[in-house]
Amino acid sequence: MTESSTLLPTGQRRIDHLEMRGIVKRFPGVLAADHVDFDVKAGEVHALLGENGAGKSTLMKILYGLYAPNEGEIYINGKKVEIHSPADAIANGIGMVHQHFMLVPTLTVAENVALGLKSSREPMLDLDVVSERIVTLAERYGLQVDPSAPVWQLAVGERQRVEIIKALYRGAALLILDEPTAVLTPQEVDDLFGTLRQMLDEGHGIIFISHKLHEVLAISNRITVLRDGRRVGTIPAEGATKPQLARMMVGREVILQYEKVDMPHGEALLRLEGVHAHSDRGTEALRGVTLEVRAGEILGLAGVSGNGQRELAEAIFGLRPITAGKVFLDGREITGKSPALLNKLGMSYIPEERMVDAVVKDFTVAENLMLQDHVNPPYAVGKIFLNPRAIAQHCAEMIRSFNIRTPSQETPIKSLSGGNIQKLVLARELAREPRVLIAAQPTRGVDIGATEYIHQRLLEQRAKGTATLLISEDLDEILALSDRIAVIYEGEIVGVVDRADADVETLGLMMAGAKRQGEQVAEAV
Amino acid sequence: MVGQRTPLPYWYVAPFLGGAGNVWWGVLLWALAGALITAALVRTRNRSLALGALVGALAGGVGGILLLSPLWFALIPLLERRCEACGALTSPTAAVCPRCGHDFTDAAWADWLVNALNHTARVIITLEMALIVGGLVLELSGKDALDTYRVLFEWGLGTQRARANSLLAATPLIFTGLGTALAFRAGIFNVGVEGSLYMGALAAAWVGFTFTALPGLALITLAFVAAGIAGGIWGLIPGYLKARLRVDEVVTTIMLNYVAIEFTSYMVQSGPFFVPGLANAMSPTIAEQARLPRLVARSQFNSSFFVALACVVVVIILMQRTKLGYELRLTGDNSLFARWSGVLVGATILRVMFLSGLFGGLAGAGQVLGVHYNFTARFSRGFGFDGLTIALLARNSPLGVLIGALLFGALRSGGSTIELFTDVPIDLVDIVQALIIFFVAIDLSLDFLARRKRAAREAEAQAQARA
Repeated sequence: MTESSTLLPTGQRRIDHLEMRGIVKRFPGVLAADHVDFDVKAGEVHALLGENGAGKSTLMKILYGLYAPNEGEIYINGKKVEIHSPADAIANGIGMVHQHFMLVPTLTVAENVALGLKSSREPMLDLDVVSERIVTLAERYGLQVDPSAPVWQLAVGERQRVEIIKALYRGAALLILDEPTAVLTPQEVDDLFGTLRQMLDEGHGIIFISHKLHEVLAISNRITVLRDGRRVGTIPAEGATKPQLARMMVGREVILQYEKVDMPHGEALLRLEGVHAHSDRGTEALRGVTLEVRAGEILGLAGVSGNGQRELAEAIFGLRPITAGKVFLDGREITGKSPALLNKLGMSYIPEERMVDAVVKDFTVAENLMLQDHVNPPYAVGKIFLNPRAIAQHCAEMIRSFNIRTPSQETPIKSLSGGNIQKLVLARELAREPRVLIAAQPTRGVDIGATEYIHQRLLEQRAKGTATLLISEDLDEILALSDRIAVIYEGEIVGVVDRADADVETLGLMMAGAKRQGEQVAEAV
Repeated sequence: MVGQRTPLPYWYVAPFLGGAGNVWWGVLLWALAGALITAALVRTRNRSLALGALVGALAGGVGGILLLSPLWFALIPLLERRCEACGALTSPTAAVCPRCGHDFTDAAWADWLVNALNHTARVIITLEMALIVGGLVLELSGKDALDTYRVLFEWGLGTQRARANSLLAATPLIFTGLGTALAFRAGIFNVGVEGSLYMGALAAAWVGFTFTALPGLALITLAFVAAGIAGGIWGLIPGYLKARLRVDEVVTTIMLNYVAIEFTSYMVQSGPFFVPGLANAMSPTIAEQARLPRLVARSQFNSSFFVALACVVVVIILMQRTKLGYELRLTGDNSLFARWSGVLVGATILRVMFLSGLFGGLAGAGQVLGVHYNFTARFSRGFGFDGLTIALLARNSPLGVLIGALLFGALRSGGSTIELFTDVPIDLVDIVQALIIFFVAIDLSLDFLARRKRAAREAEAQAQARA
């Protein structure tokens, strides 16, 4: 451990101690990293925790040579190093697994790993040699992967393994993992953690970027929390608690536990019967979805992304053709009806891609608030003209009651922050007093303050008797808000459970496709 | 912490950066402009290019810094605002502090000022660049650029009559510019205003020489209405094809321009409006009382200019205060979303194409009733296409179209005399105009690049947020 010349099983020199000192990175108008100190030792996982824009990714991009720091130095084993490019980083034994995988889907695993490396018998490829080494590495670190499989055939978890192998193949002694669990099921996360522990035993160092508290607590030795580009503190993971970390991240207590009014079981306002629909690529995205959402209830739809959630929301709201099956709104069939009509019938939709599907970027705040209702009084007078005074008045009311923070009504919406744009969408959709609300990822990319606010509003709507279908990939959100939870997997509802009976374990199993037997499935049908 | 500043969109200092950028690039460019102008000046006086370039570069550099420093030291601090939460300086148009994410809730007083400055500066710099490069072309071909521009200016704006002629030349451009801008704003690339103009002009002439019994005002109104309807219907054809059959409007409108030009020519050359004995292909002359009053002696400047001004007001109201305006802007920005919101996109396309053609028709009527008093085959000197350039330059703002049309009018009317007083061919004006389009295109694509960069940043932020 003390010998700096110790070699890793990959033959690479070990990084016993990597230190970043006083790192400063300025972007126009933003101080992304403000004199940050960070270090990681061999055989430990050092987690970087922080909200969006806290500077986690910036710091790691500096370490990997993607950004040049304005100030600060990097030391490896006590010696100062200059890292100007990813190539420098790799030469120094630093590897990075990006959040979005850098793989060529049409090439095989071996080809992807060999990409950009010198072959042992130039100019010919030496894929057999590469494959052999991949297999050795895979065995050593518990990374099962077939070197001859084309990447497009692999599941997300397998692709991540390829990325890790790629980094190890290039001699990474220190591995940076940028939000590695974002796309994984709980079981895949466990596999990943197994691999990481193996790597620690071999003497690798790992930097783990995340904002999922429980994962960070499960895998890390030390945790550094960043906020607004500054280091809030570094603490040992042992003894650390979630509330403590959350407090460090946001600077105040986060309540993900909400007071819920008991609502009587109402009638089913939204009912889906065996709905089928295609994805954009023409494959079957929904394969007979049957669901019902009752008045005064929030039905959470959980699932790993890309299992048909987006298609389901769009199919219900008339944005995607339903190839088979039926949708009912309060007993009335609405299959294939236009969004405009559904609006009139009392359905509101908060889409996932709010900048594209929910607002018009170049319109002002007021113009966006009156969308869809602009043909009706009070916004319109007669058949031709709009009523500027009524528009200003109504928009001011909505801005006030939904606490939308904007300089003025005439501000173009694109200059608002994500949280405020989402509040605006919410204000517009809820102002219509919907009876059925479809909320797809309502708090994605939204800061904690606005998230809390949006959650409160959804619960308020529930108390008013609205039937809400909450589609989210954030299990914490689903668990905090839902009365019942449905899990979607590959376009099918795997099961529906009451919130009281739901725990992360079973939901995780269901999200990975394990069907639940018994009464829950019966209830789903 | 100290020294954190967010640059304003300093368009006026860095014309080639298309947004927030390094102010020194702006200084450099101004210096270059100064050098070119001074070099040309010194050369005409002393006949020495080397001396001219040297003095010019010096003078331009110093001048550029002098010009910029008051802007830099006096104006820009005024236009910045301080974030209440973290103290960072930000642009007054920002709604979120880029440093700490604090949301601003009070309106910035300088919003409109910054926007006005940006837009004016953009137009001025585009024209300036075109004139500079045009001057280079002249110098390279051995002509005297300064003298040419002097003639251009004098005959464009120098005398009352020159000014009247400039307004006269601007009149049809206001109409066609409005028509094009309206279609562009709705996301329809209507190149067919020229065709509508011909159809409208023919309709106006027909009314003018047919209903000769009517009194003046009624006849003029009827002629304008007929021209508007004729132009509008001509616009409806590609509109219908686009709305119903999704036929690309660029192709159809370009082709229909030829149809309109040839059809109207036929009508006066050998068709029903053919008048035996006239040397040129023209229709009969319109009735005396149908002629619009001329307002300035020895100029054809007439009251159709005020019709055009009224149309600017109408379009402003249409865009900002009516459902149709709202829906057409919605369609232009996000047509899929417009459809989801219950806007009948097809109907909107039809209405917009009718209006677009209508303004083209009015342009034709103005020319017939105010200038020619008959329909002459191929009378338009590309008014429809000038309107397209103007709409691009004005970024589809009605007020911008007015300003752009006035500028182009002066350029056209001054340019038409150039051949009389210099040995420079009139094509110079076309070159300058082409250069304007060129620089507008550069500006647009820079804008596009900046937007794309911003979008990439946003995507990255969103990806971070997602994980």
